Amino acid sequence: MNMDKKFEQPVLKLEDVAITYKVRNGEIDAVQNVSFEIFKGESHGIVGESGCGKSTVAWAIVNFLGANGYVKSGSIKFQGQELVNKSDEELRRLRGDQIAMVYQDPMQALNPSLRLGDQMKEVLTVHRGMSESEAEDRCVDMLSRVYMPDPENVIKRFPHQISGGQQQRVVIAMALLNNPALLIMDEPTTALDVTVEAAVLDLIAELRRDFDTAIMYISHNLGVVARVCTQVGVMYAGEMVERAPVRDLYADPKHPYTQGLLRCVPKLGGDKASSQLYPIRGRVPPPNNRPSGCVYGPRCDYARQRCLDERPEVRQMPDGTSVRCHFAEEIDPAAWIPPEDIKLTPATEDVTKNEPILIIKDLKKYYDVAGSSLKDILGLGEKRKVKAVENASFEVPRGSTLGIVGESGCGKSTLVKTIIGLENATAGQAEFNVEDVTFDVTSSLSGRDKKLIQELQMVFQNPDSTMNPSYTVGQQIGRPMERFGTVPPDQIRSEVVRLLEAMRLGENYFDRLPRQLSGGEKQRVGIARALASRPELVLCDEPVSALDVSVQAAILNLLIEIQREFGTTLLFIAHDLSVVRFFSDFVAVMYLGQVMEFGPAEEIYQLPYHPYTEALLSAVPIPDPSVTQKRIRLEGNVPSAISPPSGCRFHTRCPRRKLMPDGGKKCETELPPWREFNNGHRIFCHLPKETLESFDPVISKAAEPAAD
Amino acid sequence: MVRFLFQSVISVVVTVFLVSILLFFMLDPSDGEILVKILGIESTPAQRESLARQLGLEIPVLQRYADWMIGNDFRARRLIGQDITQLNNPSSGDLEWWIDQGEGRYVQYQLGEGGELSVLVRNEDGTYTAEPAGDVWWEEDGKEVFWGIDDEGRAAKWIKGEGAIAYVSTQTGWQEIPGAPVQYIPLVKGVLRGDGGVSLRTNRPISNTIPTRAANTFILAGAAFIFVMPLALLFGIIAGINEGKLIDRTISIFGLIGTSTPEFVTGLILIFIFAIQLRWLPALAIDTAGGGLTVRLLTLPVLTLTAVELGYVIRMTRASMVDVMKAPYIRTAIIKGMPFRRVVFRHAVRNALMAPITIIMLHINYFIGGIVVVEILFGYPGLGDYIYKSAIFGDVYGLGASAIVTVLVAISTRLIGDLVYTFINPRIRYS
Amino acid sequence: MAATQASSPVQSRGAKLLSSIQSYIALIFTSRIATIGLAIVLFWVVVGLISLVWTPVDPNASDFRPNQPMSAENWLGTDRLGRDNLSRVMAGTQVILLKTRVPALPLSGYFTGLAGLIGIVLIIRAIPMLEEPNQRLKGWGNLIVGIALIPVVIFLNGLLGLQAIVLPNFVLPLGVALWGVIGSLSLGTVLGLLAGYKGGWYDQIIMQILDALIAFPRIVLYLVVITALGQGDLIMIFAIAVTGAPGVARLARSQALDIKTRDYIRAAETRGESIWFIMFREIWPNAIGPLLVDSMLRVGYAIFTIGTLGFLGRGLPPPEPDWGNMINVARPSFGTVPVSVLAPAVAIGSLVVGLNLFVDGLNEEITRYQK
Repeated sequence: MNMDKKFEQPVLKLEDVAITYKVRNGEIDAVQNVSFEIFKGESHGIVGESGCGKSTVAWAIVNFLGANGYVKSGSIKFQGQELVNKSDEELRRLRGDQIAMVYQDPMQALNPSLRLGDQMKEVLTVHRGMSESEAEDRCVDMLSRVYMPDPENVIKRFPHQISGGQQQRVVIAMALLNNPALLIMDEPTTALDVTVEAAVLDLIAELRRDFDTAIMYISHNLGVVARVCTQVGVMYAGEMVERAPVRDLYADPKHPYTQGLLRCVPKLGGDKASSQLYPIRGRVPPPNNRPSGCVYGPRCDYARQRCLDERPEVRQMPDGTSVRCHFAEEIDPAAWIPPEDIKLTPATEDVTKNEPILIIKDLKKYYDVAGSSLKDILGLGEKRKVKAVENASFEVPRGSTLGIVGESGCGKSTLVKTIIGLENATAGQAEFNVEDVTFDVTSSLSGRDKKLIQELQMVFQNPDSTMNPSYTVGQQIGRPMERFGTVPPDQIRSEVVRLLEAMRLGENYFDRLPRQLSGGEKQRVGIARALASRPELVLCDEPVSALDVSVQAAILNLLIEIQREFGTTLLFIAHDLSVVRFFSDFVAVMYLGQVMEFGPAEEIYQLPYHPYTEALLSAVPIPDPSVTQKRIRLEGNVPSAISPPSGCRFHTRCPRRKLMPDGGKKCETELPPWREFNNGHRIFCHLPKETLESFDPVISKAAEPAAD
Repeated sequence: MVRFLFQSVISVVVTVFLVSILLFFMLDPSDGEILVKILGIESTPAQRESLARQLGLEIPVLQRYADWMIGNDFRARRLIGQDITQLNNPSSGDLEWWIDQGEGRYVQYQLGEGGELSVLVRNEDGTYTAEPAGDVWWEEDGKEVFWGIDDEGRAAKWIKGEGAIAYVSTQTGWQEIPGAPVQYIPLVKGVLRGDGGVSLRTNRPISNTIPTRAANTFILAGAAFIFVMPLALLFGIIAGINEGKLIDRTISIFGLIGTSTPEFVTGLILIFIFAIQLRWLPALAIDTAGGGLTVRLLTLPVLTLTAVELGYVIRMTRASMVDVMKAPYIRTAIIKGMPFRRVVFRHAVRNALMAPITIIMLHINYFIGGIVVVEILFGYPGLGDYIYKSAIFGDVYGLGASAIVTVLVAISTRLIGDLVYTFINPRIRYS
Repeated sequence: MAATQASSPVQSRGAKLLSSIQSYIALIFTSRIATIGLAIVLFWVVVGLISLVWTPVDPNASDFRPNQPMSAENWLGTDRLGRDNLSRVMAGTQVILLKTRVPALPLSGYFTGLAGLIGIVLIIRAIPMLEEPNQRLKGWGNLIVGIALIPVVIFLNGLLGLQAIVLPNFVLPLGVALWGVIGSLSLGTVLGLLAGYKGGWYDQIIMQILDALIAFPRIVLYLVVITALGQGDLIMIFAIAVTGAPGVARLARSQALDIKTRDYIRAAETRGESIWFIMFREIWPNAIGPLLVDSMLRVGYAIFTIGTLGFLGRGLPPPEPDWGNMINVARPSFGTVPVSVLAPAVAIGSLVVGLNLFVDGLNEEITRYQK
């Protein structure tokens, strides 16, 4: 196939493209010297961390850089015709016809006040001059092509009336209507849940084969790119540093940055006892302050004087990959020795056998929902409830980490908020063993003992909102000490500084305001603030999911270190299964408010699985193209929590239900029993133990221990 | 959606209730200051006391609030013991209260000089003939009393031999009337039933004046509205899609200057130019020739209102348009290769007009405020002019009733705004 | 050591304040519109300051030549009573921007007012306490003391004979428009933050009451208030504060609704901070920016309104000149001596337009800066 390409014209060819934004005082070079080409039927991935210029390249191709951005030099050729400096009208004719684009957040991308059908049809009526009825038929065909249920009905609906995954299907269908030669996808699945994402990725791969479209696929997620792309380009600080076929890139990364990125992500199956994540030191330079030599030089472990002085050119390697590095041939990733300062002290004790610090029993959280019929408004209708958490029971040993996974809306955040007291539970008990307090989870925070409040603290998801923009780092970390009186007032400053140093931030951060910090630094301050009152239990609500992978690795390491030093118990919520597997000692899998499976982390990711866990594992994108996953996809949408399915909540979508004797009648009517396995591993399922144990493993390489 | 509408309606009802309480208690004349204002500082305490009694101010305040809201005719009917009704006086066109004795006989009562009660029998043309009333008195606490309706149309209580002294202002000055009733209930059907009582300034039923005044105001407001809206939306959209360009800057700045200049300043400058210097248009919008309201009369008031409102609506529309043009779905439309006109008209305008509709409807209060000023400036006989004159005179009843009308107009337009918004926004309509 | 520790944040905070002020000034000058607006406003402020010490003629003195047109002697002519228009226009800035005349009031009035204020604060404090089980007793205490305070003070006032002691009238710095806006800002912020942060019934009740105030066309509400209470600087301040508060509250509420979703508010809640801490230490500093910009616009509205009411003959009381009132007095002779009407009209118009241009330009720069 590689041979054919030489004679074939690429669909898209970028040569030495530089993109510049005009700002108040001067210009910012967002992207420099980017070159690549995409052929028919090829799916070219572009990966990189935020701010590296991935999307800018995409916008440049469709010439949508805004009023102040322009292509400064280089050429962008689409099927041989130059796009740079093409007239607006000619470009307009190409856009939506020959070049189509799909991007993140489908809800935002669709016009809220137009019916979906009208939005789709106009692509055909405007570009192809098709009649309304003909266009409508074609839209319906295309919608069924992307496996949209009930397409005749969907075209009459408004965007807010369908789910996020369906919206993305509509956007993809709309992009494919004119059978474009080039499809640009910018993080199309980032806003979606992992099982929905898997289905959309399947669709993209299938469409690429069927339509023979050239796809440019932008993502920050190494796992997603590994799954859908044939070629991958890695971008860093506005430059493309490496470009290779997908298998080569993951198996044999040439550029130190690519190697660094791959060391930042946990392998599915890796855990913190046997492996470690290695964050890349330093941070991405801002576009107006890039180094003059190699852009990656200041962060590179192999950097020599030449790297700081001279900017490397892109070089073609013997195996066909192109790398922007002076010494690519000399670098062997296998021989890499981690620097001392990022090595973690290994765990000394096995915390999983400790006595439980927190015991939750039958915790329930229901919300009232406002009905919309006249009867409801007058208070006559039956009160309806969202059953956000149903009968959650578990124990957390002191000093260990409990990971809670599940897709959005599964109640994992509600569970944590209820434990900490931000929400009042509807029923249930909790025992906190530090002081032998049995506290009522149905009580509000103000009804709780101050000592208990101090012992439970929280780390939040969004680095941009975790800190109050009006106060300095020192003030915010010092406040819990002041409030709980854990530190005498005259020692607060020194204690804060001590904590800052433990967070690897240093005293000079004391007087900084949040806007002077990067995302990772803010998250560190957030952790320091949670630790300031010396809590026994810290609840982490997706603390790394908004961060880039290299920063994510650093924060995870920090949390591990803290736990080993202070013996803090952690409750860790995440939707990324690899991260949870890596980071947790115990895992609870939740679906629609119900804990489906609970047990030691290594047990959860091995047989036997709960059918839902099996589907999750099958969906999770793995940053290794050589791994094969069993393909299990869930049908339909997550049911509403207002009227969850009777019996087992998962029965409406369960792919394993047919294994039940009578086709699963029992699943519809009866609550499943807890099936007990080794080491406290339990599964909430009607299927007998033997059946559960008889499944095939989802991930074929998962049985091997992690490579490093 | 049902919920949303229900909440809007409930909110309107509660708002009206709160407004009525606020108005009634703020404008309660019983503290005396307003009486002094009406009667002048030369008035004697006896005169003030008499006026207070004639206004029924010795009635407990909550009772008076209820009277003002829902009326007191049923209470009076019980005291009088006979049916009472409102009849139109053909000479003045005002409604007056009479006792209905059946078979077309309507009467009022009057205490004569000698202390004998006369009954005034209504004739067809609204005048009356006095007849001796005979012995209609009844016994109460050892006194002979009688409840009826006096010749001013108020329910009144007489006590035999104990005539109070009433002071009545006439054209020749203050007149002392002996033998007046000892207690009055000024009959009213209540604001909720469309009757705000009798104006202290004109002595005529308020509900007679307000409709004609409001109609005049409606003409003025409607003319301005028809003039302003299309222009403003057009300019707003033009400015919005050309954000930051010269045409946007020009429109925005003129809009800003227009809205931030007080109406009376704009009006005075227009009068100075068009009426005083150029002598093209009249400075007053009063129909002196009897030719009705003409375009000539209305031009300057409408222009003044336009100057103020145009800028506001332009700014709202522009801001909304600018927001929408930055929305990702507009980006989608452009990337789909839609022509710019189609992007603007099909994708942007509809979304952009949703936000201003509610804001513009909220703005109706300012608009009414502007109309008040413009009416006063041009002497236009509308509701605003009435409010102003009532306020200056201290006619608390006139002011209260007309203020309630303006509030009703304001909140009902707001409600309409909500409804329109619900209707054009599919996110709410289909939820 | 302790001293340096204490002083270094203070110093840096001072320096930060200075630099932020500098950056704001720089921001103003990047916008031509804001610069022009500021120049107009500063012009009137300077004119007002000058008029405090010097005007061509005493603004209240009559030279017995009424209704003179413009001349070398009276640059802007004279009014109906023969007073110099130029001097009166200059002095007209004072009541709006520079001084508030507090009339002679008995001492008891101040005491009762103060007690009322404390009472209201206690009642507001009590509301959230009542909701929390372990503070309920304290809440009831506050509520009862708050409600009881006013009658008790009225009684004490009578007992102590404070009615008899009358403080002479005096002048407060800052004009009626500014005090009115300060009043509406304080009242509106407290109510808006409470409604926004607490939500639920607080929100419903507070917003319903404010909605009732918003339902009034503004001028009508002013006329009602002034008809009921009479004319005076304090009453005008009250009217501006009350009519402005709902708008401020709406803005503060929307800010609170936005800010309360942030994680740092969750963090404060998980520390068990009180409602007032969260409202005023966590939310307020982040909400105040837009509220201040809005307040500057409100100063414009207030001047607008004072002018309009003066024009209607219901504005600030004489004898100090007030622009609106000057127009009202001069209107009958508009046809013959237009300058007596136009001079103060242009003064009001330019000041309000100037303020609006300033705020608008500044606001545009701020939002651009944020992007």
